[in-house]
Amino acid sequence: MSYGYKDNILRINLTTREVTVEHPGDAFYRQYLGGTAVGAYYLNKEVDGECDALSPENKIIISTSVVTGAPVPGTSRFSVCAKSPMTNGFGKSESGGFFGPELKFAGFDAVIVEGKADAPCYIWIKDGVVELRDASALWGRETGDVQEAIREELGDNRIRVLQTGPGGEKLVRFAALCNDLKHWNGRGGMGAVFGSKNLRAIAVRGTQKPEMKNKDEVMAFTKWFSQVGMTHPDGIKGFGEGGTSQFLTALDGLGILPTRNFQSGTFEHAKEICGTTMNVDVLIKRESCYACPVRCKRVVENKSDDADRNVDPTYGGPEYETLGAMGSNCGMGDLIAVCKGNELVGRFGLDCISTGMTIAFAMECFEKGLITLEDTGGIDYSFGSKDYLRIIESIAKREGFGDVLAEGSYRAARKIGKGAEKFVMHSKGLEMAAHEPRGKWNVALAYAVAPQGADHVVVEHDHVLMGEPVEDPDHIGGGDVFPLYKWGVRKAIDPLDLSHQKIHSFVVLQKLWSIYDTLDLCIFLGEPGRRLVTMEHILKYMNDITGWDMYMDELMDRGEKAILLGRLFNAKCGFSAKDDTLPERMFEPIGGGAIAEEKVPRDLFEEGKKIYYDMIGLDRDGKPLYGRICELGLEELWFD
Amino acid sequence: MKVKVSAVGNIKAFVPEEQEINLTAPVSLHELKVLAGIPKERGVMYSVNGRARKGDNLVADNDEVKFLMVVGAG
Repeated sequence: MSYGYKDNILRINLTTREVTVEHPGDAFYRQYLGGTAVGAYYLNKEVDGECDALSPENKIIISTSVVTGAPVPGTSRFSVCAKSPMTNGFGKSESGGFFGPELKFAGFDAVIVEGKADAPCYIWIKDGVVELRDASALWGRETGDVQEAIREELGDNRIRVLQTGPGGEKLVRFAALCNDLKHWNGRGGMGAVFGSKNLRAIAVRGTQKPEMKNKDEVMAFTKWFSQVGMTHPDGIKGFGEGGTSQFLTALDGLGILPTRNFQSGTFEHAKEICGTTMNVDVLIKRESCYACPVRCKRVVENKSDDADRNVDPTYGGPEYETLGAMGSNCGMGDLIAVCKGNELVGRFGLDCISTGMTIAFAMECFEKGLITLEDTGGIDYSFGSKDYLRIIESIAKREGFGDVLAEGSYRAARKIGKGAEKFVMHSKGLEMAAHEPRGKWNVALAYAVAPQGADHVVVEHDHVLMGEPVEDPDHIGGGDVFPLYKWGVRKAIDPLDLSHQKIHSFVVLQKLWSIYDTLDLCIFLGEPGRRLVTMEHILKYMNDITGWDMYMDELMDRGEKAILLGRLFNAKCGFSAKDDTLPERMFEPIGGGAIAEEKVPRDLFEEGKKIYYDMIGLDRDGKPLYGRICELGLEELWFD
Repeated sequence: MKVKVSAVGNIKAFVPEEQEINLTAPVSLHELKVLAGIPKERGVMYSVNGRARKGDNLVADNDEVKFLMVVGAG
């Protein structure tokens, strides 16, 4: 009998319509745990590094973990991995919500989708029964319509729908996946991979919750979370009330709020689009993920006769990343416009980060005269443009100049020419998130070396660990490095430091956060950023759920494994050390805002990258060392 | 010496309005935090005259100090 997992991995070949179920066994689950590690394993094993990401040869792996579906706050998430159409390398993206647990309840730990359907389809999974259904009538329709139509067709309002939108159908390279219209696997173009396979959605419904070996212990942890975590003044309640949107003014205060395509770190309209203003002006309720009492998700509404000002709460509300990428970085200081923009990316199924960053890139090109109204068909691409919403729609529909931007800023710059490349803020072709690396050098290194490209969820961000250490293992709060003492990190972290000690802390933090993506956990509940749910808690509830006796060192190995598997796949796709870099602008002063003169020092960055390679076990080309791969038990995936 | 202090985000619960604090000698940012009414164990980030500073930095006359909520990825 299995605990925590179902020992069922569903494989669907859309070309042949063949459906099979594999049972990899306990050793596999103990080796990989789930999430990103499982996705990376199958990519390495089965996907040709040279294949086109939008071809039938690519595969997409949707994976939960051994703790998904347990009634534990923060375990709602799931991962989606594929060769990324943005980077042409390792692609991954995680989401919360309810889809992951529902997939588990329906009998499956993961789904591997391969091939390409000859006509639009969706997958229907109910309690172990799998059906491929015609989606011709759904094709071209917005996400809200499609979710409603699927639930109506199948006669159950509790069905969870993971889908791409019209953007994915049109192969917008940064098209995303959403579940319940409010939770997103945003990054890396996973929605475009769905679209390339003529796959619009996966609908699931399940009633069989996974067994837990020591259920009483698991429930004791959940009770502790509710009684202590939700009531302690430094617990998680405040985060739920403010959500991620409250980050905006703090980052603006530090001079590191990306503004106008990273030309400044301070935005003069920050207060107008911040979380506090949102709470007062448009927030109508807060929502949650499975088994989580925190309720950090925003739901906003603005009623207006003007369609551009009428914001539909169906699509939730903007998180910090949306406010930063589509707000300050586009010079947009009108909160209602940003909320409407959030609704549009929701309707069309686009990644809010890449959408905002790509528009910001085009706006700077427009500002500098590289593109004109003639190029854009009369659409105004000024920062804070009145045509902002039209731009989003034109990208999703690949209309006019939007068709150029639908390729993402990296490819759009090549088409525009005239030196536009220097305005692309990316790594490996994936746009940077709404975090300014020149003011936090952990993030600079993370953007550069993460196998998935410029992702912000790679390591805990520097400022979070610069507080005075509180040397009490039972302390609840956040902002210091005490939780990292056990891994040899004993000094508060200076954001503007890339010393050997800082790189060591980076490696520790990357492994920790990789565990979060492998177990599909929410980063907001746990240490080191927030000292509430500790790694010891996580290890214990994982062991209580599965019945295993895993040690902390083994758990850390699992985090490392996922990182190296991503790197190994990139090596297979032809990546090398030269791809681990930052846009040239990051080596120049910010130029505006509170820390205008700050930059990433190139020599420290290059030296830091080498030290990182040595510490994590990569050769000078950035490929994992064979010995490290063997030590982690991954030799079956090795290639010369 | 005088320093201006204010708070951002949920730290406003402790320092709702901007205030001026008179000091007879330089203190560290960690110490200033407590003087401003924020519990010692509460993790905050510090911004001095718009720049992030570590808690053991000493404040100077006329510094403008902001106590910011701990912000990570998101």
